[in-house]
Amino acid sequence: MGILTLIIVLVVSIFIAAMFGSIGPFGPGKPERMPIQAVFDILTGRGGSWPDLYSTVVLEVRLPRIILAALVGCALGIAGTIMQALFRNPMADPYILGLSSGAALGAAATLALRATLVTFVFLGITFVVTSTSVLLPFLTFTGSLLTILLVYNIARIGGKVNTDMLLLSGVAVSAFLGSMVMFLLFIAGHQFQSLFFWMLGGFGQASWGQIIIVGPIVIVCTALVLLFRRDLNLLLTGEETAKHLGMSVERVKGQLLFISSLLTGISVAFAGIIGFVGLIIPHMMRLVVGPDHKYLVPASGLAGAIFLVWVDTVARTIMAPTEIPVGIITAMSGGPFFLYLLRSSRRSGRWMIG
Amino acid sequence: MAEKGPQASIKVEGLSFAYGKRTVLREVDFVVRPGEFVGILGPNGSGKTTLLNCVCGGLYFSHGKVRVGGKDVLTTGSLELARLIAMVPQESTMAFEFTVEEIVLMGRYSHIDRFKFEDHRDYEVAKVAMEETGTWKLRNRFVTNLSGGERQRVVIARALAQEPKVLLLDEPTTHLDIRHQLEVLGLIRKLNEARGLTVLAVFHDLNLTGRFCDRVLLMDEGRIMASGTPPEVLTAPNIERAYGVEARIGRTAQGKISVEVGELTERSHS
Repeated sequence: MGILTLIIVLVVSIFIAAMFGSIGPFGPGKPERMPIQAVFDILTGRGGSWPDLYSTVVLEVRLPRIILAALVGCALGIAGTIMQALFRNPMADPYILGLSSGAALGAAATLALRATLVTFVFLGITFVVTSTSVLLPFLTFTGSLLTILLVYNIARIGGKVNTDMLLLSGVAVSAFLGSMVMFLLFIAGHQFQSLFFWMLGGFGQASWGQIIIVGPIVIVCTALVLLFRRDLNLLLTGEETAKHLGMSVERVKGQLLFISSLLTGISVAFAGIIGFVGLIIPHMMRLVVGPDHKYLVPASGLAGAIFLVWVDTVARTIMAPTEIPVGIITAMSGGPFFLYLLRSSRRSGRWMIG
Repeated sequence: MAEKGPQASIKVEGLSFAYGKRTVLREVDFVVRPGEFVGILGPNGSGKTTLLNCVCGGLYFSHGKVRVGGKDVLTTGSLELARLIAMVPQESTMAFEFTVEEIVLMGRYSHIDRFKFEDHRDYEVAKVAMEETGTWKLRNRFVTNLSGGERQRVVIARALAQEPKVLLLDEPTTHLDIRHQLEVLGLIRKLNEARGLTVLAVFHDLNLTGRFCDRVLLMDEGRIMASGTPPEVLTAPNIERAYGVEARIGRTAQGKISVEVGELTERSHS
């Protein structure tokens, strides 16, 4: 009953994560903590007897953040699963085709644009300028999708996309865009410090407004990927074999790449570049449930969600009130754990899946 | 054992194919009749595998026509083609820990709607395919832990799960020892007779080909040099011309052809 177990763990994790964190005010003295009973009552809709501040903190601050973390974790877990199947390589991750560099450039563009917008205001033009919180996700998402389109079209020769070619052009484009971002960081210094923090990833800006955008995209994409479960399995046996078994390989590859880019792009747009989740989660789940995507896709989505909910909880509590960027913790905790798994579990048997 | 289904022929007319400027197939014509077992022989680089890949619709060619069961392989959709033709490649990558049953069920891809799960019939077809190939007892084993012969039988079982009318095989016994070669060839012959499958297969071994096939196509430099029954094709002059080796032809006690290979000779043709 692996999948059901993961669903239960996710729900329990969300409840527990909502109990952590201070409720301010920040400053000298011990931060006030909310009683666990209060969090539980508010989450189950019986919070009437607790102070309004409590339910505001839980429902407007903690919960959106936790749910965004879960959605992003799910998106990255599934995007990683797709990439590993497309490249038949367990070292592939959602950023392998340079999507993160494209997104970072989009973020850099946002900051540059904001500078110009501020200048406009300085010159006395009076209209409401687009705020960074809207512009940033929009431009990073655009940046990541444009990168994928570029890489895909470079690798497309005579209507066919060679997987090795795709990988190599991804590496090259990624290095090129990455160098541009680094150059911007270098010349702009202070101004771009926020870009640096964005690149390390986090859920500090989460709101219900974001979840209304991210939620449907992640859910629809997940459902679509499940429809591709047999195609993903066939891809693991090689493109030639997949074709012999009746798959329209080029078309399916394009579709899967698009879904994966959408999932990754939307994650990067709202949570920055969170590394390692898309690499280790599918790999870990393959060790646990096996390579069949009927189980691997939901398992990777759920495990990614659980992982990021916990990582974010650690990120915002361990050094409170300072937040540690989520990307640092994913790599710090994921790296050693991944090595441990690689060394210890040469998969001896599979969990029984119901 | 599955019942004999309707049978299909293979018709190849004026097929030419080139990788860039290097011509691999030149004006190839031949017919495989429904239910026939035809072997393709020829030296390395004579175009055998390319021919097979053109017949299965895996390669796009601009000259000639290939019809399988009356369908043009270039204009028929991949799903329909997979229900008509199954291909067993020389070696299959089995890097991921799928069970034998999972691999065989992949053969049902072209029969299952994207929105549905494998149903009772899919499992039944896969079971019959595994029983026929002697892989039913391996069904819960991981394919990564199989021997070469077992793996090849699993791949054949997957091909059977496609419920094809035509079976194409590319040197299916190359990596096997002699016992497993006989086993796999015997299995193909059995499937050919019992299911009425039309079989077109590339081989290396002259003796085994002569023993199992109804007819043989001998290829050289992208052309079909000779075709006919094994005794008609496997003659000393033909073998010397194609491979550049001396050969002595005899008969086994069962009346099958037996080729004994001698010294190298100069290849006489251009």
